[in-house]
Amino acid sequence: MIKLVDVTKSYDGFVAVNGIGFVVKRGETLVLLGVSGCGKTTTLKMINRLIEPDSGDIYIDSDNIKHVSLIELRRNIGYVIQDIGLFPNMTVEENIAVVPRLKRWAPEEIKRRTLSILGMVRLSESVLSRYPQELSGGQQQRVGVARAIISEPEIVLMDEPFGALDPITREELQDEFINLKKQIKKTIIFVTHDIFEAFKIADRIAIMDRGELVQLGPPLEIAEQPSNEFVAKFTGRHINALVADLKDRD
Amino acid sequence: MNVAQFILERRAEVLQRTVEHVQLSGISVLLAVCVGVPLGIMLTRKKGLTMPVVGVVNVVQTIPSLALLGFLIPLLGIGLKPAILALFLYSLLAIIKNTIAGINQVDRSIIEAGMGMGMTNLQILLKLELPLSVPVILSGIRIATVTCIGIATLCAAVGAGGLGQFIFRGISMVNSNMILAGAIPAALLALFFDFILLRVEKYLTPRGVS
Repeated sequence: MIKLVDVTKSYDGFVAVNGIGFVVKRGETLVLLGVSGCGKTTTLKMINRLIEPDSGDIYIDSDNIKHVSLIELRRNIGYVIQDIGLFPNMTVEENIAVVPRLKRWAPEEIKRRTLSILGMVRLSESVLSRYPQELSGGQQQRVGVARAIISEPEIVLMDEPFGALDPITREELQDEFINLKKQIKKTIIFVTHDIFEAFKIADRIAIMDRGELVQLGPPLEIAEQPSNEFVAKFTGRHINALVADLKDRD
Repeated sequence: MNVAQFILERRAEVLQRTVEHVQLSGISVLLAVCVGVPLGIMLTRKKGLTMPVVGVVNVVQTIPSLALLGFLIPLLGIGLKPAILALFLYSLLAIIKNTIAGINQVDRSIIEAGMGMGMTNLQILLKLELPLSVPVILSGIRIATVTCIGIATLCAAVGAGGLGQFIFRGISMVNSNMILAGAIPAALLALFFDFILLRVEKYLTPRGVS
């Protein structure tokens, strides 16, 4: 469980995140949705303390993350970013093994976990000896996801992970993500500006606007009962298609 | 008598001066690497200091080399000391600048991924920043070495030996064979080390980085 309490962050007078608070339940996928500059990435990065809030508190289970060792905190949270950020000087195998090695796992254990994780992200064993630049964008981000979840963190943060991919690959990875999250049952916070993506993968959606949380709820609720005009407008253009789609699913 | 015969006749001295020349340049560049690389790394951490430090090193670079050697004589006397200090100072700029450039060109997203995964600052430096900036840092060292081998010919003026001996003697005797006996080996040395260091650069550049 992750809990944010009245968290605020500003940069040179610009309030990026303004008194935000919400709870992410264990095992759920919460999507932070909003336009560029709404504060969703800032919110995400405050959870692994890549950004320190000006005020407010963030708890993981019952621990205030301020009081947890920074390095330990990060090693126990999976992190996937839009730019993928694979290490170009390391092979795919070495990239996947980064966190286990930081945690000093035995080499046999790393190898065993690597092979099992490859299947989960649908990569073949032959990519292990390749370098990131030799892979396609979709393959690279599969490695990015594998790297984030190999050490079985309870929490995974994903910052527009499929944003840089072409539409077909993106859809493919979204579908695989839905399967994957059922398998691994992690608490996932997923940032996106893509409303279709949000409705497709979220258990609950938190809509942000200009640093504030404007609505938090399951996709269908957000689509049918927008809490204010911004949400209505933001979802409005796609609303009919989405509602039909969601009802189909039920 | 042509140059080849001239050099062949004096091969023992040419060889000795060449060895001196390599030592002189080698020691200076080595010192500059030991100081310049850590200094460059530090300057990427303390960005406020970059301008002043690089500024000072830049100014040193603009002092004519012969004049710098002259200035150093009252301070350090003649011989190897002023020569090595001068060559060290000339080598520093390329090494510091390339170290800074090398580390700064590493993609921010790579560093952020490393931080997000819980690497310490030292791990980020040793596992990501340095390996990924090897080509740029080494090309700085290569530039410094080639420059140094050229400038080292002037060090004969302060009694530090090297291939400059032939050049200065040749100038005063108006003997172009004598000048070439210093100039040709010096040029060949520069080309040789350029080639060798280029190979080292290729060899040390991690696969997957291009």
